[in-house]
Amino acid sequence: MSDGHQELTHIQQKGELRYLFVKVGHDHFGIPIDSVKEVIELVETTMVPMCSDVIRGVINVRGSVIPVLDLQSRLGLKSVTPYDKYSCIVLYDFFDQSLEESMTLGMLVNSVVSIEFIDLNKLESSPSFGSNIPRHFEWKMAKINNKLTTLLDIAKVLNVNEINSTLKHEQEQFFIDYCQR
Amino acid sequence: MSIDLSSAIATFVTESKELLQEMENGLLDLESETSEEHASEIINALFRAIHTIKGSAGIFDFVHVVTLTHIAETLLESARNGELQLGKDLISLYLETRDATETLITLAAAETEPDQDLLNKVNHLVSCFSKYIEADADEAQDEVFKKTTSGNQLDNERWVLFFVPNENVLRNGLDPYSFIHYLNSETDDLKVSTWFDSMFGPQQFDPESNYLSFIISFNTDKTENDIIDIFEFIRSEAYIAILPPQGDTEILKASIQKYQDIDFVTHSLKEADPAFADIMQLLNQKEKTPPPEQTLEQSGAAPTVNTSKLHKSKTLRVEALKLDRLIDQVGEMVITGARTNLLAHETGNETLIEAMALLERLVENIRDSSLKLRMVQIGETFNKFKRVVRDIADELGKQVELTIVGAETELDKTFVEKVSDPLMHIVRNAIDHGIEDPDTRRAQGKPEQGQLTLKAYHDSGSIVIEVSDDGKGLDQEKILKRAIDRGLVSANQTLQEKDINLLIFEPGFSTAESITNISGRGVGMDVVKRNIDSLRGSVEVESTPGQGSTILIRLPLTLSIIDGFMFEVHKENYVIPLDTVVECLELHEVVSEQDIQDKSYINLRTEVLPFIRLRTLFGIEEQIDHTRESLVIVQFGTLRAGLVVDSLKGEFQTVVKPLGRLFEGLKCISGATILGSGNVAIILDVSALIKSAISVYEALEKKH
Repeated sequence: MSDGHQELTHIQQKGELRYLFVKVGHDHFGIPIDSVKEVIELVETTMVPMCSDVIRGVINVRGSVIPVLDLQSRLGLKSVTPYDKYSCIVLYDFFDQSLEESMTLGMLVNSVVSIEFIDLNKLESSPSFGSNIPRHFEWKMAKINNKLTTLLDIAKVLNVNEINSTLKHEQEQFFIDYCQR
Repeated sequence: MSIDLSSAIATFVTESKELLQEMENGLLDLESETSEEHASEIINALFRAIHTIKGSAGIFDFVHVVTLTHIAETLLESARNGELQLGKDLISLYLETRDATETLITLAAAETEPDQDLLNKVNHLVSCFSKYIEADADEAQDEVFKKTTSGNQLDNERWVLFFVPNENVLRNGLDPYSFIHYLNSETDDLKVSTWFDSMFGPQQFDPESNYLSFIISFNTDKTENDIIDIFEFIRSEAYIAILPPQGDTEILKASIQKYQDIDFVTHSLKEADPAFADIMQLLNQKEKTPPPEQTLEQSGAAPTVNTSKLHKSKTLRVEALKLDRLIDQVGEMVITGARTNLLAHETGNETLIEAMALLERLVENIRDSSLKLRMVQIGETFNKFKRVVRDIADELGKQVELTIVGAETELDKTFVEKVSDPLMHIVRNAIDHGIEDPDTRRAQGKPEQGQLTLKAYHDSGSIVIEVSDDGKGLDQEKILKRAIDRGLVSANQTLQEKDINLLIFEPGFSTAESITNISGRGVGMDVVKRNIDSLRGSVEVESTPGQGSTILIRLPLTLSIIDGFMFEVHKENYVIPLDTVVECLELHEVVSEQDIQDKSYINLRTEVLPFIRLRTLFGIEEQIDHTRESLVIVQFGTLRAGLVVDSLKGEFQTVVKPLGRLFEGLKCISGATILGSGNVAIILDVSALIKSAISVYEALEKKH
């Protein structure tokens, strides 16, 4: 514990952050590691009926039911890369300010790449256009091994309220499709 | 050294709120109570409540709370002794005090000083109380004189004064010595006997408590009133009795009881006046005289009554979190039990299977009783409305009687909390818009007093709460007109009666001509609908013009564990509450494939039954063989429909796991559960599923 604590102060002093890099589709994205609870292998998920593709399903993690988001679909990637044995679910713990409760969400990614230190002073802004994911999901760009990599604005990616209202809309659409059939 | 009192303060606040609630109920009961015995019981309870609050507030130095409760308590003391009748005015005063106290406590706990308005109010209340107390004190004094003139006379020559200060006098800044000192300067030949033995009692000595009591004798040519005036300031905090020369035996007898040590009294009296030499004889006489009820201080409440009505604690306060954890754990146990049972069956070992069956039954019992822990009676919530009804009716100049039916109906604690707000809006609306004022009612041949009924009962797997009034009912024409004005419905649309009634739940909808501070803004009923929806309940309105209206709230019984029925659709398991399932059929047995090619209803025993094919609804393209499909017939209230599923899995004890914020508000999905295999199954909300289908069909029809 105390080691971890020392490490944390060390990081803060140096203006560095640790990021978990994952592969979604063919691209690498950075997720701030401090809220990553754990990374588990891709297990069988239970489909939630009448939901969009963003929701991969729900899984049982030691007795609690956790929703899993398909990150490819959430980031709106055009071509879909099938998930394989390297695919993982990143469990992300976060505190919802508006609801004042903490919750856990799973993010399904194609694979986990590495954990890197990011120098906060050497970040670059995301391109004003031309990116393959919606701009509001991007926070900054970091140079990893001379390659520019997007750091995700995780609060936007996991915007529960936004996803929730999309889901409600989707559900209605399912009923309309059914009745119109 | 400072002690962290924050947790103690939090306890104090919750405890006080409970006491204040108790007090409110008591006051309201008192208003309608006719039996004297019950009334005195209630007054005792009130007294205890106020006293406890005062005491605790004193510990935390909540000055304003102490001031207010102290004076309220003082007046109640006289009521307790039967010297004062608690009329409607006083009850109103106490109700106001209750409210002010609650606000004061909340403020004090938040370490905020009350604002001037509140202080004014407190001062006003205090002065109201003082008026009563003064009036009361005068009466009491008259009584003293009455008493003195009756009864036997003693033959003492000296004045004797019995002076027993309360335990708290020193804390309240009164020093008995200064009074005695002053008495000494006003009289001649003063003799004081002091009793201090109680200082050495079993309890630890508290330097701030008063343990002393005195018997004082003197000669004077002043009147009794002059002497009493000397003790003016300490009168409310002490027992004081004066025995003038040739005084009344009654006073002596009454006073002797105030002292804990008879020997001390006899001894000091003998010393005070030789005429008391035959004191023992006097005391013996006492036994022949009537019981002590007739003595001054104890008229009304006999001490035996007090002890028998001591508050008996029947409940145990448990932190909600602990309870939730227990229920969670029981839930886990149920899941593991199901899994173990599955494994036991796989082994085929009969003895093991039998033992497992027994264990399962025990687990089921534990589940049931632990769930009951969360159940509370709705009566407590209903009782709050007595006050609401009284206040609103008073404000609007209406007469309303509240009847409560089914107060013992139990429902989940979370429901109780969430249902109280909507009920408040409905009740307000019923009184403001529903029930007419007395004149109108009389003109219509109705009794002047309006009736409002709160009713709760269980009905086919759900809990129903009914609020009905005998007012003027809903004016459907007006509602419809307003709805068209506001663009909620189009003018050429035809609506059924019950749909028109439901329009009152639309946000911002109000037919009130003027906005009162009670209702009319059109916010309230919208809140009702939203809150009930969030509990997955439903609201219905029944109304007969001129006869009154009834609002029905239907809440699911859903708790964290339910008896479920499981089926499979496209390799995924789904659970629905077992009590919604009416029957299960093989689809091909009741209908041929051609018959349901393009229509979604079947003819089941001459009854038309619409159904939903879940596979299609869930957007699964792949078809399966018609002969393998099954039909589950479900019922919710009066709605009956079929669900076409792939296969049936049977009954299953289900621990409802919340799906969290992400899926909140998704109507058809009420939660998830973990199966014995460790997989997750989705719990479907059957009623929402069918209702959504109906509303979408209706919407599509209107388009065509």
